[in-house]
Amino acid sequence: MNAKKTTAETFTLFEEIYGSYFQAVRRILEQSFHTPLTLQDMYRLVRACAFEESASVIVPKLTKGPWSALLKRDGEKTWKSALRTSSLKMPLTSLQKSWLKALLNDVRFRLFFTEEQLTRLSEELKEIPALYRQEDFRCFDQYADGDSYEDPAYRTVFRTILQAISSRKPLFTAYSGKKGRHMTLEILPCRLQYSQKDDKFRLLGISVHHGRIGAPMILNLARIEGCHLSRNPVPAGFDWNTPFLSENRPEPVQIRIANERNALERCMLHFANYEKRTVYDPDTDTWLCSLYYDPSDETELLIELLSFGPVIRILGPENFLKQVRERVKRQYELFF
Amino acid sequence: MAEFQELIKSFDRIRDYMRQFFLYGFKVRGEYGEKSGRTYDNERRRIENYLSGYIHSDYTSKGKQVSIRMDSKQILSNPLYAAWKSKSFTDRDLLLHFFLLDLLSDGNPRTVPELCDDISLRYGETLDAQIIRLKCREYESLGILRSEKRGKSLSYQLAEPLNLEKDTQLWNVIQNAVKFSSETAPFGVVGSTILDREFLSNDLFCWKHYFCVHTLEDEVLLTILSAMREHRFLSFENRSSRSGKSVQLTGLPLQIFVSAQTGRRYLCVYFPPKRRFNCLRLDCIFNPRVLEICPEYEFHRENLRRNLPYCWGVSFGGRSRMETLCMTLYIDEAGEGHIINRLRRERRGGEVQQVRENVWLYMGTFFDTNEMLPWIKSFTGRILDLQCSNQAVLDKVTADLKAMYQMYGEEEKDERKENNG
Repeated sequence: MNAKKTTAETFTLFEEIYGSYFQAVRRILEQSFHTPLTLQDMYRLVRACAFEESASVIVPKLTKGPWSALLKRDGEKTWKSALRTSSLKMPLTSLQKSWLKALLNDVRFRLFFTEEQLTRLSEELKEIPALYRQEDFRCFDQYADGDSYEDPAYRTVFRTILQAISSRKPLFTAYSGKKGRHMTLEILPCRLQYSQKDDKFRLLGISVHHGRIGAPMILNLARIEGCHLSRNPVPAGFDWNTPFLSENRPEPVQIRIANERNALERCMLHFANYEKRTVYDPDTDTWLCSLYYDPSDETELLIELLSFGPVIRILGPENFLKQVRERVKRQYELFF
Repeated sequence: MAEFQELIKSFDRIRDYMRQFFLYGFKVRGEYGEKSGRTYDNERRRIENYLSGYIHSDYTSKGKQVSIRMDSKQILSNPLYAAWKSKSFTDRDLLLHFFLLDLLSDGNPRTVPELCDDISLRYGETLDAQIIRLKCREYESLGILRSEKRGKSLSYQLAEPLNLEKDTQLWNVIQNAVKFSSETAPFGVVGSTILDREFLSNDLFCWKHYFCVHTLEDEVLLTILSAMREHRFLSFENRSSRSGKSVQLTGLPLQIFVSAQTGRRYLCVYFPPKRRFNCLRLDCIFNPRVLEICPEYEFHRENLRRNLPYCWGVSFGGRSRMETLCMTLYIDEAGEGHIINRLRRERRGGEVQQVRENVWLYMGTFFDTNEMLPWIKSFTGRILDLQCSNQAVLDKVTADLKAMYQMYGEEEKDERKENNG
């Protein structure tokens, strides 16, 4: 069979124009257009845009090396852009437009927009070929009870929450709890959490009672019956990253992975979403792995570990191991 | 000795190392296959630079172990995208990039000789016209520039911005949607470059069950999708992750299978000589090449569509075409309604029904019930009975449950003895 000639439409992801060095230089040129920059300023800007050792390459090249045509000295210790425009933003590339076009068929992407906005988007991108089609992909193990992204009530709730998070405003929500208990909550919305496996959004926030900060909360978006922005002020000194930083992480789960049935690779891939540490034990030809987890995911982790069967051995911590023993023992009694 | 460079020419070089550091992280310098120690040192240093906040080093008797460690619930955007932003370039590439953006920002089209003159006049740099011409062509193919005929020569100007960008309110909504999609949609790294363009980063979303490592397969995926779009055959190298051995394969790419539970992606390919569908892991595919058009593409795709309801995961089974599995579970309905919900949402086309109070039956027919083993074992502690038309599957589960009892149940007995004794 013959190889096809490369066409102009062939996209590549690995291009220098998207690179961190170009981004860092653009940052320096745009900033120095308005305000002359010192070497320290430039090092700081590069550190924010590029990699650990990038500044030591980029800054000398710009100030006294082969890229110095882009900057001109403004004083003894400062530099200004030598260009005549302050904005060096590239037009969107064909790849970027093509990706946006593909997203138009993604129900989750559509959540962000009104019907009128979606029509405008479709109109504007109508000549652009989509980078991929939804039907090119088949997700075979996603849970079947995902959120109803096309439900108008759900869409309204989603957009209101997004507005509250963007504008950092408290939110009043009418929520239907696990046992159908209805409640009204005032919450400081921090982030929307999405899980591809569950195909669900959850709101991570902190409850507020009469202006005082309460407990961290996780609300399933599908159970929020209605919500609106609150006019109450945000309590002073509130840290919007709070629910992110779970300080009370339990001891890691320790497992021993046997060198059989490709267990190591399966485990490493399966638990790649957890922070983990693995070491090889040459005496037993096994691997010892510590998995760090959020306490709210304990049961999920437990059943995931059980699904590996005897190719892994859960070593601790004791409270976790106790639950494993109980289930395994119960299973033996039921089955044998 | 060549000076260390942070940037790289070929993505494949970094792909393998980054994957190994991320997934395993327990190997030491000498354990990275056939590559030289120097190569390892350079790749390690690069990855340390790209992912400085996520790198951990441990020292063992065998040497230094480098690993990439992160909790996906704590990250806002995929740190591995850094690898895509590390392509090397020449000094001239960078200069021309900014000269062209600067010169053409006035909206006036220019021919290559005009660009050549303006660059010399304005920035004092003398560049060869042919180099400028090549760069203009390259940027036109990327969509950054557009050209029009002016007399006998082409003149270039910046591509028109989208009208949407002029509507601040709508553009803000798009940016928010990009913050989400850059971590959840295929080729999320493209979204990340759109955010870079605006100097933005995700500050709205966080993730659960997020598998960062699979972005490393995106370039391969791009070629595969282009073959799928044009209904073409594909040839590629398939490298076994277990043995490391490679085989060259040619087949018809039909669909990408994705696991939301592990992030793994597979290419579903039809092999005409064997008349079989097969799923191959994307991370094992290298050097894909697009070949000729297959006139029967739609026929094979439709055939696949008909088969999909019988795939539990990615296997199309062996010789026996269909296998049926029945699993009876004990579920305390008063307090464990969530387990019934779990069965329903995870059944993948199987049937769930109540047999009597607190006893529920799951029944499904698939090509390969072997793939169901991990799922079955996740119900450890509840399985009352298991029946399967594939005896080997039944034997495996039974042996595994016994082995687990020996592993944990016996352990408990031993401990009790020790405590009593």
